[in-house]
Amino acid sequence: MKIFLVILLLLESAYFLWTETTSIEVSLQAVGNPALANVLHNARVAQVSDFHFSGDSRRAQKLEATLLRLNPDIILVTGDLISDNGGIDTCAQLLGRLARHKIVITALGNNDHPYGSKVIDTRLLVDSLRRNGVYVLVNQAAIINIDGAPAPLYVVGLDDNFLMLDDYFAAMENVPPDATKILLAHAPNIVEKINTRYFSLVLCGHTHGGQLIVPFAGAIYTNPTFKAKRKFVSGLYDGKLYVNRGIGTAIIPLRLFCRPEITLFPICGEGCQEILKDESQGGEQE
Amino acid sequence: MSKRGGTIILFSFVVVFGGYLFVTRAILWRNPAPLFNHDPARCTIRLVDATPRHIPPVLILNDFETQEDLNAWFVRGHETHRVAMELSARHVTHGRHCLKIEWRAQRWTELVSVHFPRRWQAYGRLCLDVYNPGPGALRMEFRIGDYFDTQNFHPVSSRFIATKTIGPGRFTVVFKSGELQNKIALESPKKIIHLRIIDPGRIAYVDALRLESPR
Repeated sequence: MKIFLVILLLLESAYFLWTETTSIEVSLQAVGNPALANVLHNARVAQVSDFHFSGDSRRAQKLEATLLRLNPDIILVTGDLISDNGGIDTCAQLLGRLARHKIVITALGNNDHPYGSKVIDTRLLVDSLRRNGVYVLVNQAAIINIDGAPAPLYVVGLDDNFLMLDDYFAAMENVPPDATKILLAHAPNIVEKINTRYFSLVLCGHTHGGQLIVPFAGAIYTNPTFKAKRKFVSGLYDGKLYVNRGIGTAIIPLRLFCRPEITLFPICGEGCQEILKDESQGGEQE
Repeated sequence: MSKRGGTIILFSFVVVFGGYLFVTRAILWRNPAPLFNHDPARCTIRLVDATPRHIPPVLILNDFETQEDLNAWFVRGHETHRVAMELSARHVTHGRHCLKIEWRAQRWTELVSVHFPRRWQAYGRLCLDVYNPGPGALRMEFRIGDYFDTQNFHPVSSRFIATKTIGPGRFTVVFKSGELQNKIALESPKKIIHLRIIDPGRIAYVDALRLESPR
């Protein structure tokens, strides 16, 4: 009897860890911003981040299925697409398939560049993505025109700011100062370098939400560069900085109380918090 | 604790943990989020033209005019005490001052710049004025690297290295963007320059590190 219970407990634990690591949570993050709501004109924006693909395509298939079902119009990716060069094909194919029907824009993260002993072919990654119709913004900006919207939306993408490859002024060259803008930057410490008040929304990843969360204590480690080490772990800060928990894992292939995340941003004008209050409860398992 | 007591505790734990898993995974996590009914919006996208609005014909990276300009360089290597650098008003080609370098180091030592945060791809040439008071020619070695070079991310072969022989008098060192971009990423936001006088016991005056010839 005791052996049977121990086996059952081990199976439960394995299932617990497996679902914590692989089941994607769809977060609905209401953002009340009349200007952004105006230019988006009901277009739906989703953010994904930190795929850390390394050749295994199962996670990619799951992510693709979820994104297709959520049916966003604009998919914004905030870097760390791969963990090694083996993930380039998986990533390019996934985002390429999505880019056939959606607008897919990505920034690059520290794992998309070679550093330390890591050998990453960034040029191959960027070329593969661009060949597949993905907009890779390397210190660049893109204009999105949405049918019916009175003005275009600018998406500004910085190169990885964790490795200090970001060039804000190059990215903002020729972006009108009064335009409605979304900023994509990999690491949330970007808020220490630039003034975010010029942006309607700042989307980041990098931290994996801590990846391993100890109940009542919080994230163990967030790979930060900012002084306040646990200042930006995951979620919405100051109404406009959103830190996504990402899809993949780093260092150890486990997540604990920190599920992979796709964020949908229902964006509306005044009073949208009340409208979305009921709708934003809960997510869904994939 | 009796054997039976242990089994009961284990059983309770299995049941509670199983209940937690069922409630979270099967009920809470399956709570369907609304807003899924959505008519796709028709969107078009294009890149913003990244060409700088105004490209000055000459972009000075370092004019060696102020202490701040001087602070953008430091000496490193085996014989840092044998290299002196100061602002000088002699042999100036641009502005009021230039950099005077007295080089007595025999073992590996070099002048290193801090990052130059500029995109160089808009320009056709990187230039530097050098005055050699003589006698005889002096050889200067230049190494230019992008961000990755500075972090030793890439092998040495990815750096741009060139040796220039400078005869007595004024000489403009020119690096064409074409030869640089075969080795380093000109669009990289940070670049660094290493400078070394190969022949010890020499003096050189350096001025107006600049980008020229907009492309």
